[in-house]
Amino acid sequence: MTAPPRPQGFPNIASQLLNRPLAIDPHKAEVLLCALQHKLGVISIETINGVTLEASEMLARTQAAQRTALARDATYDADQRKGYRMAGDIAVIHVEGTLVHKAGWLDAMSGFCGYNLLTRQFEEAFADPDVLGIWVEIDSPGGAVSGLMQLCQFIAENTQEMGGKPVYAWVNETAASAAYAIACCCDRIYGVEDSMVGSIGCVMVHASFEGQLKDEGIAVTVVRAGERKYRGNPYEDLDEATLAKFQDSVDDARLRFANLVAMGRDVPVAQILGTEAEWFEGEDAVEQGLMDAVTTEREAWSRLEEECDRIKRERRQSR
Amino acid sequence: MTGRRFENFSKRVNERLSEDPPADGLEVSPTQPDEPEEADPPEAPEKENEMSEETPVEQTDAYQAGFKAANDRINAVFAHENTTGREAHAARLIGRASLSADEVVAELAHFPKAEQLSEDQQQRAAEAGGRAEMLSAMEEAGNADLGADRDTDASTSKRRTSARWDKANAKIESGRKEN
Repeated sequence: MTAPPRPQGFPNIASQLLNRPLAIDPHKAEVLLCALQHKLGVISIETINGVTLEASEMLARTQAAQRTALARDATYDADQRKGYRMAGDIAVIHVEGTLVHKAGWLDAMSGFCGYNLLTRQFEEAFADPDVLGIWVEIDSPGGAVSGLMQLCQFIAENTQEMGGKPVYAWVNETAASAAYAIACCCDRIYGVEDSMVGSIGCVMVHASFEGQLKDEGIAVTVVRAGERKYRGNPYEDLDEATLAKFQDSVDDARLRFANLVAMGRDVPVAQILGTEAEWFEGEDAVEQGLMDAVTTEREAWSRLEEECDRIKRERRQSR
Repeated sequence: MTGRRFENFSKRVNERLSEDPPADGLEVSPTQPDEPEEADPPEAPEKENEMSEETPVEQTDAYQAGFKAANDRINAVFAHENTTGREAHAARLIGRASLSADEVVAELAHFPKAEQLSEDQQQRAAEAGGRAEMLSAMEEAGNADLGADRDTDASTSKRRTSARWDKANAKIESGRKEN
């Protein structure tokens, strides 16, 4: 019996968002901090563009992101009771919104998409005899590193090239960072001229409230047993050793990410690292080897359908 | 259809970069788990201009002697009083390998000395040159003129905005042609 999903509290979200390596578009990281401002105690944030957002401005950004999230199509196939929508022989799996290790109940409300949910969907689709091919609709700026590689490995080892089912990624309209890690494990990646892929790097955000607390006359004393205990906490500015450790962590995640892309796209790892986490659109992405072709959705879908038809013909002939 | 694309997934994802990544980008680990590790660490790559241990002693000595002679010649020229105020000429004459240091110095005596500027004059000249260079670059780039005495004519502003777009478009076009 499968245990029901546990609700994830805000401390859990904070622990995943702050001081953890993230493979995410930096602008999306800003939206996340805005969305969780009250729950995480974020008073104001300074955006990448150097603009300081206060509470009301952060709320406005959150509401805009929420409207986008709620406008998404439901992915559950109510008629056939599958964890994904079916179109003929093809299962459609959506990789949308911010990717996190354990999304829990935040799925619908915050535009989060959990690796745990995706893993379940892929497991079911690979095992489902009704499914001949998998269409992965991607529109995500990326997300957490935790849990990403396990999902990538599972998809990669069950692709058509590894003896499984054809898995085609359709970039509609962003597959950045962690979302691209998922895309590069698919058999094919297609998108339109405006499709954005790449951002093969890693980022970590640390927020220190030490200065603010001091200004407000609040003294926080950290009593630690073990010199490294509770380093990187939000009440103290980062010390050099912790900063170096964080840097090592993001460097390591970036290298594993680059190795994954090099493997999935058959591109030299030096070339991947040389992109310096830049993103690419349309033909530029094709030229970099990060997408297979710029085409229409209908054309890409037809190619997957043809592949499914070919599999059906082969099965009939082998009977 | 089966391939090797994702074979040994975990091992390949966790491979470390070697100092000089190979072109194919896959075999990046200098040591493989199933290979015995070497007892001695790999030797550091040779520095440029450094002779290897196999180079004969006489060649090494000759190299060092030649290097020293060239440095001595340059130092002798620039230390001589004839060179003061004629540094540009001195640099040009040193480039002629057939001239000794004494010959260069003797030749320099025939050239007029450059006007000696005070430190303040040099500073002002450098600042004026920098301003002229900056203005030239701004004009070339079509940057906005924000000075108090700027040209407030709307057509000028529009022309400059168009110039920036033209430049950006030209860059994109040239990039596409190259590709």
